[in-house]
Amino acid sequence: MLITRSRVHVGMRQVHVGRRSAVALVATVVALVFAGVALANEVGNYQWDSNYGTRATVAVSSFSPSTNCIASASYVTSTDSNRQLQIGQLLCASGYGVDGTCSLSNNFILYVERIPATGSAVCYPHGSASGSYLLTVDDSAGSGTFYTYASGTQYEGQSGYDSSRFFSEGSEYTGSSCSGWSGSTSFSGWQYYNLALNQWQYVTSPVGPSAQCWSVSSYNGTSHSFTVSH
Amino acid sequence: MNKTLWIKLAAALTVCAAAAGATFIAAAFGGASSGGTPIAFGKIGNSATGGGDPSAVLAAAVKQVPDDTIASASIVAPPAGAANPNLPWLHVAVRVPSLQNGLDVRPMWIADLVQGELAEGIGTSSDLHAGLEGSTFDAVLPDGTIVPDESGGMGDVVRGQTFSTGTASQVSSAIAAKLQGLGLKPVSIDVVAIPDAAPEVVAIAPDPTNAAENLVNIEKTLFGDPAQYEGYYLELQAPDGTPFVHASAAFRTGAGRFWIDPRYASVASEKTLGRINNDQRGRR
Repeated sequence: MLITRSRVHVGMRQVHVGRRSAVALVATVVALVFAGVALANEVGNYQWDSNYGTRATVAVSSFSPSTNCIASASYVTSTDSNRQLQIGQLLCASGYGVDGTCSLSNNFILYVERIPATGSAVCYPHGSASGSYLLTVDDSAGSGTFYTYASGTQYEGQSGYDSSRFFSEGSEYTGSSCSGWSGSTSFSGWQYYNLALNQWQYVTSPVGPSAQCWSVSSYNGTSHSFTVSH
Repeated sequence: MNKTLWIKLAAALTVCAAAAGATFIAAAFGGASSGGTPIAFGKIGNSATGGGDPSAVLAAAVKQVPDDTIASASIVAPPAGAANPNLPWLHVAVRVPSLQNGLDVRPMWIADLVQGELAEGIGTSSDLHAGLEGSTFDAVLPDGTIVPDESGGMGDVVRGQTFSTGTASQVSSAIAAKLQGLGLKPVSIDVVAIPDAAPEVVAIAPDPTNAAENLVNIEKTLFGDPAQYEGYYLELQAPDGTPFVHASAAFRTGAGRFWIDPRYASVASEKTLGRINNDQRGRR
């Protein structure tokens, strides 16, 4: 499924577009509702769109889903949103799961999910989670292959990326309601990998935040941190 | 308190928190740590029997594949950038009918099962990942096109899980009865053995929305909780025969694969984590 910000777009377009476009937009929304199309998981994140990697200390304070699942992760995503690699911490409510094997028994886990440009997603659990990791997704060789790391331990990689990709740090709720769940995660010491200088540098002015259901704090340019909570 | 004790305390408290009702509260935890207790999906019981020659174990596993899904499989050196270049790496070319609409799930699952037998057979550590660095699954399309690195990975899973070794007839009968109890109509029930029993089930759901809502419960009812089989493939069809779910699990690698018709994604109890949309680019 594609996480969109359709609600944001709807709101903006209702204000700014003419009558004909507005009618078309309403018709589209109505059609989507009747088709039962999933418009959104609920995400709260910041993005950074250059260079060769992202890393931050991702510390989960609490996850409490009564339905569905909550994750906090580091991501690389192709610009067209088709290819994606993420490493994070995940907890699903009883009776819910991700891809069949991740947090299948409402256990709090470390995971990697990779989505190919075409084809189906796959999730790999990497044991019980501790709550706090330096989560990294990087291509330190500049070869188009990104690898994932949790506090220095390497996990899955994914090849095939070109320069059209961006990075995210944030949280996600897999349901489409803003009620019945809570969660809080801090992201601190956010850095990007500067391949030209062969070193990690702090992210100073990320894009965002995006805050569907979530409350995302202002980005602290001194501690290079923010929190995502609900 | 040393790091090992912190990890043990974290694992114990995580279990308690989960048992209390899908809540994780991290107030008791200290700084970052790496690794965690490997996941067990089934019951633990087998004594470790690994240590086999990787190529021989792989050949035996591939021989058990009942069709031509596996175009080739070999032990190779890990790709550039891999952390442990001295560990074995599995490369598989997997024949897929298409990469659209979940049609890659079943073929990739077969490769997952092969990898699971390999991991169990070659390592000796309690974490299967410690003996197999990872895998690369290339997709081979019907026209011969090869899509490199379509999938692959290796979860941190406990060695020595025990799974059903029932005959195809026994497993099929058991699952047919459970399908009936769930109100699902069987289309086909096949069982592969790589090396243990792994059912692949195609069934019609009279009410796809209801089936999507209860998908995790359906999977656990059919295939056990804890997992009774080493893996499963499940295809659910609408009453008109159109597939709306392709799901698989391989409990020796931890690989879980999932596709659902977007019309039912919002209500499904099983999800794929979302693709992040970058429509905020350019606002800086």
